[in-house]
Amino acid sequence: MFFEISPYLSLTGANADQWLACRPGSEAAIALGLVRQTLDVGKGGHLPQALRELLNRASAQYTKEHLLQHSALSPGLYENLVGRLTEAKKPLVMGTGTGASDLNALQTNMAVNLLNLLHDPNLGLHDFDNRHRVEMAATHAGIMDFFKAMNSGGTDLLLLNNVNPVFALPQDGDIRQAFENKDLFVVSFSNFMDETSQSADLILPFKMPLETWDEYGGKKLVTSTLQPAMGRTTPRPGIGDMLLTVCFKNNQPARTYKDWLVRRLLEQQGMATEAEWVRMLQHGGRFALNTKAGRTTRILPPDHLSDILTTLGHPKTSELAFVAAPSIRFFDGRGGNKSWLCEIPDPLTMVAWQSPIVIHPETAKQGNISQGDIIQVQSESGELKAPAYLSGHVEQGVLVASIGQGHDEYGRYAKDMGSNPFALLSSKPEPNSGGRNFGADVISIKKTGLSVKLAHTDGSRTQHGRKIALSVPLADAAKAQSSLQQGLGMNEFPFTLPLSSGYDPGRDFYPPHDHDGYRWSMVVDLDRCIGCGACASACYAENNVGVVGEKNVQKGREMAWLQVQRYFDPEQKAKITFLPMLCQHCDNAPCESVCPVFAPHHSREGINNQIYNRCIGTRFCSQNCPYKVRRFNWFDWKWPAPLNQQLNPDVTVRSKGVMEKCSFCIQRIKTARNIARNEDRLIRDGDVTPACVQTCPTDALVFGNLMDKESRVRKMVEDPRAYQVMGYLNTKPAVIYLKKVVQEI
Amino acid sequence: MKKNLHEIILIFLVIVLVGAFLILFYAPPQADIGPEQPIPFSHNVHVGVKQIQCQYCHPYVAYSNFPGIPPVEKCLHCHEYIISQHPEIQKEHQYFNTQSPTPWVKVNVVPEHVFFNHQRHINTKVACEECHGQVADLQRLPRKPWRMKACIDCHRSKNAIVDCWLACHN
Amino acid sequence: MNQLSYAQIDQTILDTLHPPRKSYWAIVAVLFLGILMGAACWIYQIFMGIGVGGHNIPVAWGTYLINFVFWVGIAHSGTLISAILHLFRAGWRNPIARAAETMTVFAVCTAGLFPFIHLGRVWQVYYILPYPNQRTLWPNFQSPLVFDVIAISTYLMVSSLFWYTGMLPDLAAVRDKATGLRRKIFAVLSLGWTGSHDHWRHYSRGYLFFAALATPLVVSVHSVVSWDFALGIAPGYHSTIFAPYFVAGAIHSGLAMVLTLMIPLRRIFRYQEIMPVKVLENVAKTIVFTGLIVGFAYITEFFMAWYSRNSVEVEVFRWRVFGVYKPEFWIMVVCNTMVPLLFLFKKIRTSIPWLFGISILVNIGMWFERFVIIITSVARDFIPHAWGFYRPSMIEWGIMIGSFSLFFFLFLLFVKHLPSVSMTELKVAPGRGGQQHG
Repeated sequence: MFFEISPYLSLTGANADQWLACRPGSEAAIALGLVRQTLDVGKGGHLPQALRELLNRASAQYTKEHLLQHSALSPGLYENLVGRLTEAKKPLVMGTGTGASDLNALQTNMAVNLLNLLHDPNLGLHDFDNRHRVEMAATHAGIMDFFKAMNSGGTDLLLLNNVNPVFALPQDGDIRQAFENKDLFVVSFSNFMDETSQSADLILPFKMPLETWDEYGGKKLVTSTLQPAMGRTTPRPGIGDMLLTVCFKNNQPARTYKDWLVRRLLEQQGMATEAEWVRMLQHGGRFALNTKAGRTTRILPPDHLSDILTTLGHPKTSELAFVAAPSIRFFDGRGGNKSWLCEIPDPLTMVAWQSPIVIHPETAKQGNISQGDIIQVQSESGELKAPAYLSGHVEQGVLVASIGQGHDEYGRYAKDMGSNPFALLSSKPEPNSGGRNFGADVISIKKTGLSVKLAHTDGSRTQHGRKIALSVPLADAAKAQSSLQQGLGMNEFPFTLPLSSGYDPGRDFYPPHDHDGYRWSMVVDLDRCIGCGACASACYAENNVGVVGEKNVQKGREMAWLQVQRYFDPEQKAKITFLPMLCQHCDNAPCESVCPVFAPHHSREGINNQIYNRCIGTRFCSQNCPYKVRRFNWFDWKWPAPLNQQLNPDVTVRSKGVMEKCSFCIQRIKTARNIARNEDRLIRDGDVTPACVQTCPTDALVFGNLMDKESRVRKMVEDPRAYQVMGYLNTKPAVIYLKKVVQEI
Repeated sequence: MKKNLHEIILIFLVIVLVGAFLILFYAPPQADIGPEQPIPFSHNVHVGVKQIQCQYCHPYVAYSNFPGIPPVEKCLHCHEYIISQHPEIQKEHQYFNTQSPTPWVKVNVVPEHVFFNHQRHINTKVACEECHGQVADLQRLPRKPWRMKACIDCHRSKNAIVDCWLACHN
Repeated sequence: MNQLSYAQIDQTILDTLHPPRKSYWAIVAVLFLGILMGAACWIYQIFMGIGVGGHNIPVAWGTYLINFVFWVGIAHSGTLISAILHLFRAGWRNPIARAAETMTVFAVCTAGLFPFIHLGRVWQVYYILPYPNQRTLWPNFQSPLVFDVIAISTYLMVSSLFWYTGMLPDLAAVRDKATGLRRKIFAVLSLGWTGSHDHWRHYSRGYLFFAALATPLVVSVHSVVSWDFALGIAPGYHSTIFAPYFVAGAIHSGLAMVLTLMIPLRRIFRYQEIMPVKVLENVAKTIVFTGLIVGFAYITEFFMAWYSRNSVEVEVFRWRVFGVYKPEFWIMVVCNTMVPLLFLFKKIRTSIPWLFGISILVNIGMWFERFVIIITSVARDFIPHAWGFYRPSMIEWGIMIGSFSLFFFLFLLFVKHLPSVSMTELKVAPGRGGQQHG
């Protein structure tokens, strides 16, 4: 059971079983309230007396009534949460992340940690040994002090390695002063003319990570090795080599950075010979992940704990609050110039290229704001102009905008695209944690009178009762599909595999296809799909899919072969299902019979071939595709140099006037087939991995041969959760979906 | 006959001119020899006389999706010692020293939407000469724009795959 | 008409072929500019890509298909009037037969451009033809678009031959009265017609056979065009009533276009005696009939959608009435089904201004009918995430204006250079003791 509490629905919340909306800044109170409820049911007896009393004191005022009044939590949901938490055998509570830190972030996280301690004195679900590298990052306060120190003189040289403080840090601080300081020589190692490089005195681009030797330790027990995967595209050096040359006059520790790196790794990892290092390189690194989670560090609660916990900052006093949300696509803005990231829409708003402000419809009504109106939001630190996106997935009175766009430099895709929510944030660090405040009080919202057509890729937010993205309650998930009502209606149509066994003379006009040994098929588990869109991006990369730009997305011409569609449940506000929709490679494809020149045609292995050079562009196939997964090249898309170097040479680049769609990565099937033929065998299950399957972080996509009885896909289609989208059209799709399992509260 | 003499002469001239144009455009004398290459490499000498195997110079066909062209150093493997003072060989040295590829003119042209895989053909024992002709007898290679019919005919007769995407056109 | 002698008939019609006034050339010039603009837009589209139109996914077909169906539809009633009514011996159609058949030929020509215009890669359109090729590939005869190619080319060929054959005696009449270069041209065109008994016998037989050949085309060609949609699975396309619905609609819009063309023609050329109001009134009565069929078809579609209880079907039809394309839908319904009912009143169907006005409205309504069918069915079909919106772009309007300019340009050139009323048929009206059609 997964509950998520936040002022706005993030991707995590969308994948939770229950999202609880709360006022921003009230998270600490809620955490302490849960501590209170836990203490009330008698837990915590194992804790030392002092700590227990401290917790009692800290949580005393956060009764249920107090919380419901101040945090805007829904009473029923809160009671549910408390009930589940207190009954749970091994609950895990996670605090707010870096991006969600606000006024009381420290207190929230402390309360959460103590809550975990209350439930499990051994903290069995925590690993204190294998720490994350990101913990070594400096605090926001530290960074601001750093810049302040620079401004007070004494610093001659500032080296910035691929960071963009002019964009990513709030502008009301000392950042700009630092850059304007004549006595400070600023060097930027960036490969792009971003805002910081613009203000820098010297720009030294270095090799990108794909071109260098390096090592990376994401976690304490993990060492990953990097080696150059690209040839010499430009003559620029690596940063390590530069530092070796520039910083050491005589006694260089090594001739090249690679030598130094190898020597260091050999020492660190206790390896004797270079051969061992090469073996490590072949594995990609050393991953000591089978060591047990350590408990070598003992946690002792500090003495001044209670002071912090009892002095919560006041939650937002103004009615309106603004939260800058971390973006799944752009992170802190560094992804802003990557065309795929701009083109693939945000999973929750389904808006591409633009950075709208998400606002609750009730709040919008008060300001007479409608969808797409450009509003001006004013806070203490600045103002922000962006289009409004109305959605019930923020708490009332909360405005949310994603971070990452609003660059005025940085490159052809980022320039003047979207708006930067950092403009509204203050640079003052949060006093207790030294962290950054990603929220702000809103002084006013004004309509500017302008509006923009939102470049959203969803035609509708709900399924309208159709059999598209289905879910099944947990209790029924294992139940076999009842074969009672088999009929021809939308919900009674039998599940029909795209094999000759699926042929029914009662409803099929043409004889079944004769598949030759292989029938390629994909299974998509909606329960595992989190909606991140990495699969869509992988497809763009692998298949030379064109990026169309904002104007064309507004017109509805995005080229994504694989699109993650998201559907809200009209009855249950927070229930979202993500559905990756791609060419279904139907056995009974409606597109095949209507093309006048046989451009889409059924291959003997079951794939629906779209032959680009045969297509004359009548577009009847797209009109006849019920899934609307076919994409037409309205123009010749551009890959300005050096982006054309990324094109996959094994896939045709389509000209204008040609229809295209998912090919199940036929080029990869051909490669696997080639290898199999060379070894005089059949293609085995797992030999072929399309790009989307390869990239999916949750293994939601599975690809294989349906005619191979031992393949994963064949076994998975026997799952009682299996169904076909719009199967009642008798298209016999080869993409089988597994219903999402929902837990009813 | 006399009445229409002018018209007859005119028609005759037109036929002759059109015919001459068509012949010169489609089948000019040099069409057989092939385009002029930067260095007059003779396949006849190397393959016919010296009996060098195709895949010695063209190894990429065995393991790459793209057959490529022999790199500059491949020529110099031998020609650093054999007739090394010949002016055409000196040209090769020039290319090698300036790290630039020899600008060979492509004669085996396949359109962009065709992905021909040499490996499958080599592994099914299709001889190079079957498609590329008796290269051993030729000095310059004639330009050969491949037509689909050639592929289809052979595939059909050898019962090879004729599935559009799986074979060629993905 | 009964009062006119042969000579008077000839004179009235041949008089129209005298050199035109300056205003005529001015209008022709304007229309020619319209054609140039359309051509420029099309050339721009070929170089840039179909994206210069307003199409997208899901609405991949737009005004090009709408105009295609519109013009083909208009063509059909020309053939109805000149071929089918000829077989029924309906003499009232004689004054308008020639112009109607001309309208057919030019409408098919205009319509025939649109399959080329809407293609993504028009430079490879020949792939759709079954010509011997070294790739050993055939076109897909299962596809309704290939049916279209066959049907439209058949229709164009048969109509042109029918039109030309029917004009032969008239071309000879022009030749006889003409002098100089004109005489030479018409001498070639009239193929040596002498008016002998044999010529007349062959002519009337030929005309009859062509009429018989063209008759089934009236029904078949537009049925085939309707199957471009009915053979697709989109809700709102996939309906068995489409063939008769489209044929009736085609006749409906074509008859309206006949009125639109005949009324100014009659006025400018002073054909009032040759083409009495009775003729136009009969056309109006037929429009009532076809309008009722079209109305019935609308009701059937909505009934079937409701009766099927299929949520996808119901949604498309509900959206047509209440959704964003509501104005287009209501223009369609009012102009096609309700406005023609005004013709039930004799006063209205015998009044020239009313006839002209209502004919324009019917044509507008029929254009919007194709718009509603083609656009709304795919804009909101099976997968809600894919629902979209379509609005034609300026280039599409440019091409559409070009097509209308082309049609009227050709028609204007025709009326001044070829006899726009069939002198032959006027003279063989029953009761005059003329040639029997053997």
